[in-house]
Amino acid sequence: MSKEEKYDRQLRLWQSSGQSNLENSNILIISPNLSSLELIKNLILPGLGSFTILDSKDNLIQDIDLSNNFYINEEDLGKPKAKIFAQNLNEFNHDVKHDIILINENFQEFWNNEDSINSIKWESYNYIVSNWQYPELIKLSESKDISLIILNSISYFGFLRIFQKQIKVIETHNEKLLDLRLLDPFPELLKYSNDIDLHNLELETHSQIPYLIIQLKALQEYQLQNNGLTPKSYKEKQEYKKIIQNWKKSYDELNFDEALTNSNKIFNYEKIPQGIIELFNKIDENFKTNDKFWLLVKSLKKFTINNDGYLPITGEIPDMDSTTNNYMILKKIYRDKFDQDLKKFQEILFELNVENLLFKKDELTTFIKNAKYLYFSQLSYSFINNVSSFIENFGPELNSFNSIILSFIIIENYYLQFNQLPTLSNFDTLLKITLLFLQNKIKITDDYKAVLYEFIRGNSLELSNISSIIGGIGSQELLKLITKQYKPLDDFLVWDGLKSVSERFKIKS
Amino acid sequence: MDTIDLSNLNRQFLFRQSDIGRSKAEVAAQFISKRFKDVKVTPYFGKLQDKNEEYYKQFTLVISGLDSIEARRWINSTLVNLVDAEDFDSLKPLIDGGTEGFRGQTKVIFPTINACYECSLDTISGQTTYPMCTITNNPRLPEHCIEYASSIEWNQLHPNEKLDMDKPEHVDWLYQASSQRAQEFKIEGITRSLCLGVVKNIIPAIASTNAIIAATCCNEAFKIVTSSNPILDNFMMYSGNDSVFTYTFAYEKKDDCPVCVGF
Amino acid sequence: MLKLRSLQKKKQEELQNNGSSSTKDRKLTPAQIRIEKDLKELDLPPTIKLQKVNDKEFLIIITPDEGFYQYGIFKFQILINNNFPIDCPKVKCLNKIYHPNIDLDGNICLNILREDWSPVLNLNTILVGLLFLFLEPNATDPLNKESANVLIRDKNLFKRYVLSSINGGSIDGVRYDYVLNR
Repeated sequence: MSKEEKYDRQLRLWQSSGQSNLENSNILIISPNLSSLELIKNLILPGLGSFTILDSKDNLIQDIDLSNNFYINEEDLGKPKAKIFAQNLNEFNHDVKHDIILINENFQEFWNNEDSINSIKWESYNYIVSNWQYPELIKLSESKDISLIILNSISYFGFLRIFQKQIKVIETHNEKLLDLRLLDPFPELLKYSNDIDLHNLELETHSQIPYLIIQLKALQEYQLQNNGLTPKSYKEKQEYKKIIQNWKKSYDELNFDEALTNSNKIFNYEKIPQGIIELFNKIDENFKTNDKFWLLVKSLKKFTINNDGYLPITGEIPDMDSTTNNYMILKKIYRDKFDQDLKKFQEILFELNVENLLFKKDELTTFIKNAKYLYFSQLSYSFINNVSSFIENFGPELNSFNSIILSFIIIENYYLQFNQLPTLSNFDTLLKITLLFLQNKIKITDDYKAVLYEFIRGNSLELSNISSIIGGIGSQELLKLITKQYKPLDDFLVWDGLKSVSERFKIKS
Repeated sequence: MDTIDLSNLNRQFLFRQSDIGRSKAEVAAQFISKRFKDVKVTPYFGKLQDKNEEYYKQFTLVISGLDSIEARRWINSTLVNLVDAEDFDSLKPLIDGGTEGFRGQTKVIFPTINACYECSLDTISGQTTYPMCTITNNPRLPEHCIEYASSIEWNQLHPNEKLDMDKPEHVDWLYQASSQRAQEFKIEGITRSLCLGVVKNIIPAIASTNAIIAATCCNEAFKIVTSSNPILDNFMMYSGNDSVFTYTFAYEKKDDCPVCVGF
Repeated sequence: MLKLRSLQKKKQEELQNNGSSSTKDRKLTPAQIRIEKDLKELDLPPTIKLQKVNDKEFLIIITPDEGFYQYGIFKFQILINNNFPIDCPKVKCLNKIYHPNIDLDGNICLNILREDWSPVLNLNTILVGLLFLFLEPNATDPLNKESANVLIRDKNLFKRYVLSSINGGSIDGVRYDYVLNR
């Protein structure tokens, strides 16, 4: 059986580099509920390296689990959940390794016992998945620098939070990887264009000149007529377009049409996008000689300083109407310029790479091609379980989303305190906890009470559909973190399954 | 008439390697029946179009996770035609889900009452195609070479046989023929995977997105049958390409929809 | 299902007020329903004729009344699949003709038949597009390069070649179909 064939539909998204990151990942799941099981299922199917379930040995399968948990059978009644989950999840894909760790106490006791905490080899996991924001777990995730995903669903609502010090993505899969440099053509491009005598060509050849050359020549013409300036205003751009229009020899010259339709793009050019300038400004506080990402970014900055403020060229050109030959020549000109820039970049990197970290050529090529769209974010480890942090992050009033978030926080407080989920009979207790939490800084509203009631109406149980949605979202985000491709959530999400809508927040530190 | 293929296993959790080649409907039904003994699942391994109105009338609602626009349009139009203004039970809600990579969408259709699938047809695009003169005379991309081999060369060589990407020998032929053409024009980048992708119009798919969309479909179905909460009105789009983005909006019924106008 | 019932009730009242009722033919596929709509909306000049062969096949006859091809009668086959209008109809020229945008096998290079097709276009667009190819053959993105070169270099020669080809003559060793409109 070929892995390429089995994983074909996902390799088209993250290629073998992403797949190899996935196959080398090891995930720890703490006492999984339905959402976590859904999440891990969606990682096992595409071929995760391994997963381990950590749970209390007394957490046994009960009658009620049979009614809503897909991952167990009748004959599993009375057995430890972790064992059965690991076994049954493993059925989905034998490429994936699995393990379980059973602890003797419940989690409330566990997080209060340093010996217990230290008995776990946390460092052997790349990612931890938990349903609750145990303060000790968050601290541990920060101090040991292990990414942590918190996800949970109760009733119709779901939430997801990512803890990771820095998110650094090179392959953001932005579709706009073009960098054509028409406003400031490099010598080889200019020479090729100047050698073409556009106006004395036969129609047959005239209609096959790639539109980039037409645009470049029209710019030169415009500058000749306008003291070397480039078109800025709408009117000036229209004049520029008129030049191209007038050069058209026959109504059906598609290359001239392409030159016209694509002409606005030329003028929206920025040498270095704002996001990359901001990234450059963060080099000093983040640079470490053993951190590949920052080493590459520092080299990139130095490259732009040596290179008239330009990033290395991506070497890509769009498809355009022209003969095969004309297109191939133009493609080679950009390709050669890319090779030159890559060489210059390598030299700079070599100088800065004092620890001789190993970079494959593919890695550098990928970095340069994506240099315009690198993504970086710093995430917060702050607890949101106090009213001032709540106000800072979600505002001073209770609207519909805030009420959902507040309900979550209150139920989480209850759970961490009593080690069990509240039922409908605990409604008044929850209101009391809410009052304590809000400290009169926010007024409880009737809407909030209604949302809280909706939460515990079914005794805080998970609905299969909602846990599957939030588990699906969580697994997408975790896949992005693991493959180090695509931009992940930054960093908190709430799902409202009543209205099928979501809202994102960035938690402040 | 869908059967289980190796490339389904990366996302379909009801199927195992030993099920390859068997009917998806039958294997799934067997699995669910075994796990949930109170649920009655009847597999039907066959074409949607082979069942008549009587067949579709027996259901409360229809959830579709079809892999083609054609099949979606067919079931949509069939359910629109079922509606009899005199008979409450003739209206069968259609919940349609679809995914592509990290993106997906869920549509809740009450035939004749809100926008039907056909009403939104203008927003759907088919397979990418390239100009005939480009692929014949001026190929520039590997895709142009593959299209030439599959739509022109093959027809010249085998006027009476369809190119079938499920036959390994046809895939071999296509790979050879497009590689040769690419070499002739000094074009790089032909791979077997690209050949398959272009001709079969392969859409990337992962378990995560399928879980999100399947679960939103079920959530809407659950809300409809239990009347427990507001129902999605009527489209939800999900995208995980750049962070998480969801968009829920009401698509308008089209005045001149050829399928549902006049009801 | 309570909500559904109330929705339907509302709809039913609306219908009673408007007095409209359903008159659908219940056997057609959505593609056929759409093509029926396109056929109803056809607005063609007398130089284009359309004949229905069966549900999925049409015969088009074009008799241009001006331009290089004005003495010819040209036949096309249009095949429509069940995914119309997502998929563009497959159009083939049934005559072997001398034309810059149509090759000897009857393949046609016309943007709306391939890269620029979209479900908002209809059958009428295609038919008018085909006629346009005869009125204004496109020499700059040709399928048949030799004829395009002649058209660019020498319009009179091109005109003679077209006439000769319509009469069933040979050009550069290729014999063309006799398609003179009598």
